[in-house]
Amino acid sequence: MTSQATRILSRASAKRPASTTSASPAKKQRWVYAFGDLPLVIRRVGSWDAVKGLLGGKGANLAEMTRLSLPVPPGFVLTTEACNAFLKNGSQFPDGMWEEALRSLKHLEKKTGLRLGDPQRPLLVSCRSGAKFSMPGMMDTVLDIGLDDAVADGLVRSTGDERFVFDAYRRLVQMYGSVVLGIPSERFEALL
Amino acid sequence: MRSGVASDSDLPAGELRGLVLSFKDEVFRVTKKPFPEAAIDQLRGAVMAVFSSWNGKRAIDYRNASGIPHDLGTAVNIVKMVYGNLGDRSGTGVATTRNVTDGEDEPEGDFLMRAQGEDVVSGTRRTRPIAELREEMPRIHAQLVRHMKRLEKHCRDVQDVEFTIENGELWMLQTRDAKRTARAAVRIAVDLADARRITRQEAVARVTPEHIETFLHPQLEAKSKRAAIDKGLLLAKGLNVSPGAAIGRIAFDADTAERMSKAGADPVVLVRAETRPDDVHGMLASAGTVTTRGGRTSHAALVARQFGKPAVVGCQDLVIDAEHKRMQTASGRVLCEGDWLSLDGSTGEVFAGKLATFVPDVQDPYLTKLLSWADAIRRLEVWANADYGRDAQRAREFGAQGIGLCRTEHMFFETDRLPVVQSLILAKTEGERREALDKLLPMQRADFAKLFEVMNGLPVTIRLLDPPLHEFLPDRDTLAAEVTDLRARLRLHDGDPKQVQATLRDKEAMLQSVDALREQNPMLGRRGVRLGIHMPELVRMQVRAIVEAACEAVRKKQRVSPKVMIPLTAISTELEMERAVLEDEARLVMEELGIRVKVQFGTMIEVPRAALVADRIARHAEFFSFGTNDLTQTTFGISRDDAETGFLVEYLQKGILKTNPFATLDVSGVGSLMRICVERGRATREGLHIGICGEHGGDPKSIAFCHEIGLDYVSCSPFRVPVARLAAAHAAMGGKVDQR
Repeated sequence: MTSQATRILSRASAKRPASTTSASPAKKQRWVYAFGDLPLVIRRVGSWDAVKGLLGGKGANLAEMTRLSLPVPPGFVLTTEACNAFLKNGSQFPDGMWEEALRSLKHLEKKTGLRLGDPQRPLLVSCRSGAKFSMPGMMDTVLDIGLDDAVADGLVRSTGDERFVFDAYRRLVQMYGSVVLGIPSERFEALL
Repeated sequence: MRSGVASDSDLPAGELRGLVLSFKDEVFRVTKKPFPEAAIDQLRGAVMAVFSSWNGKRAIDYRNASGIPHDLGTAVNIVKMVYGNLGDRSGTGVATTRNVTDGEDEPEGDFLMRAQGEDVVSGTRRTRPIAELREEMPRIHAQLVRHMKRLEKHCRDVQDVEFTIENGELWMLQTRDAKRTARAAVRIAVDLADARRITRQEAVARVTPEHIETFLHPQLEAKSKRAAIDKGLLLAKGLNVSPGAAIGRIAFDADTAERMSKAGADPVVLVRAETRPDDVHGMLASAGTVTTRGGRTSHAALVARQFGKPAVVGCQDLVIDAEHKRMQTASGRVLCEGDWLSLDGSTGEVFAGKLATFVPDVQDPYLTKLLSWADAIRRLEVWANADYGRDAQRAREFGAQGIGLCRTEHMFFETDRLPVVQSLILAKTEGERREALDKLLPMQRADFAKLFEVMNGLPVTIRLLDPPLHEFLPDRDTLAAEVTDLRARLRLHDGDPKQVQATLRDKEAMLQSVDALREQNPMLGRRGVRLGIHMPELVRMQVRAIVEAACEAVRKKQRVSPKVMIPLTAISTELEMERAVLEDEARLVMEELGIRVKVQFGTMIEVPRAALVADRIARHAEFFSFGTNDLTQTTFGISRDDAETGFLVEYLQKGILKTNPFATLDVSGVGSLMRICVERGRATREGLHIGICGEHGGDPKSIAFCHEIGLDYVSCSPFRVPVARLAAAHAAMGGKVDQR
């Protein structure tokens, strides 16, 4: 078993320098990948197991479906390596990480023809965790990110569905409140 | 569930507007900061929160409980929202590419129109079966089925997908290998291999020994489970630490559990915050155990697995009020002592009420097929331990290729035989002894004849009498009390003096014999081969019975392959002497009957010395069989009974031992002796046939080790044979097992 493990390790370490030389200009750490970047990720980390390790199970599967040309809503992944670097950095983004995420957001906006916070053509996104192994109900989710009063009114005009828009909006405030700000969900439910 | 409250309510738009305002006010009240209006700040905050949640208490607890490393980290997915609640041509659902309960090749799932993902999962609204989507939106249904087929083919396994339809457009939001029942796992693996999507080897690798084990335990019926979930009877989900279903009335402490189980006709389920060593009697008296605290290595988990009792531990949603003999669930439901509870130790679910169970069919055609593929892969033969014809019959049905251990003492304990065995032990004269042996001979012969008949030429290994003789006699303390009592009655003229006198004489004689046979450490005393050396007539009789039965079989044109196994050898000379006597008896019988049968003589390896001098022992043995239960006891110098009811759990909890060495072979200690034994034994006798017949023979990890050191067969209880066949195949594949 040990000999097998070392063989795998040596193969991986033999591969790594080769891949960094091929992508020599981007020598620095990369934190963010779009779903469409899967071939690049595979080239970088080698095995499918390592892809799942880097993108998480959910991200890896969404990227895989994208590669199969199935209809997957576009998006991007901040990697598990980014998570570890963030936690190591005192739960703050290390230099360049957030900027890299913003560049991916720009690509997403271009691809969809929508913009985050734009009342005319607003982009709304979900933000979900996705570890290598599924941890049901243990990690957190925020949906409907991108809504504010102006966007809500814009959306009401374009969809003609006020109920839908404000249901999404109150979900956002509730989820953001509980997941990001740590306000117990029951406090919102009491208001329902 | 939380958001389900409102998504489901038909609040008018105006009220929702108001709700947004009051939610924002609440945010301000608590955080003293306004809700972030800038979308980019919302995104930034959410990403930071998800990253940070990796080190949240819930996440850490979950990882500790399920053994996930803490340094993996979580990724964050930022995805464009699509809405299943945007108008009449929108909807959302979940589906699996096949039925994950029974494995049938038919997509299965639920959906809702005008809804969001949580509405389907939370059960706040009644979902519709996926087949109805065909009528609702035929084009979308066709697309979905096509995508699912594609994904299953690409991922080479059954997928569990989430999808949303936004304004008549289908979006795939998730795919992953689907969770499935054991039954479905087997059928899916077989079907995929038959369709050439995966190889047979992969199919075998995808089924785990645990899957096969569930075919042997009662399970909660899927339909009954679904109905219970719909009725809100699912009380909690904990860790699935010991498989099988248990149904019983609730008891909140071990003594009550024991009392209820003794008193009533109904089974009991023990519910505790956690268990401790003084709760074990209650766990044993119960059909199953539920705890609210603790993980996979908690006391309750270890004990339950050790005794094969279903258990669910760490049900944090249950709060026990032991004082008032009741418990409360997260939703506020209260259950009291005596209420019915059903638990599924394979999934970790705990239900209120009495659910229906079934015992899966171990003769399931898919399982039979899969195991036949496993048979083609494995090198180890799988034999069974069987004392009676009916055990042997079952063993063969389960695929055993021989009997590795027939314990003859069990035949001696039968009620009509025990008095004969006792008179043999108590015999004062050669004549008395002869008489008892003559009575036992035909009984034993019939036992063996039955085994030979059932096994039809497959090897039958019969172990000569092993336990110390006192085990066949009444308990000494009881006898002594009876003698005292009878003497008093005689003095007090209580009862017919002649009769009392006669009984007293018998009892006194018995007591005398018991005292004479008494040993300080009977398990290390005159037992095994030592018994045969001491009382050669007894083992001669057993060999006579074996050979007579074998000759009779040959006369009836049956094929036979008898193997005589001598227990507890430690010294090559004792084996040499014993074998000479036994071979002499066998020759005599064959000469008398004028029939020749090939009979092999071998020994068990149960003490370290035997393993170390295996080169010399092999001169007198045609086969070896490891008795790893005794070998573990004698190597560690601990007695199993005392360890398992005493200090073993403490050792496991303190991490002194990683696993129970009586359940999984201690590779470094006992395993070293086995390695040495195999090597030295085969140095003397090339190709010496070697097997194992302890309980370890049915344990997958131990089987892998037996494969590694080159044993020829493992022998286990008939029920474990299917598990062993699979485990032996996995061992041959180098442990490449696919956990799904």
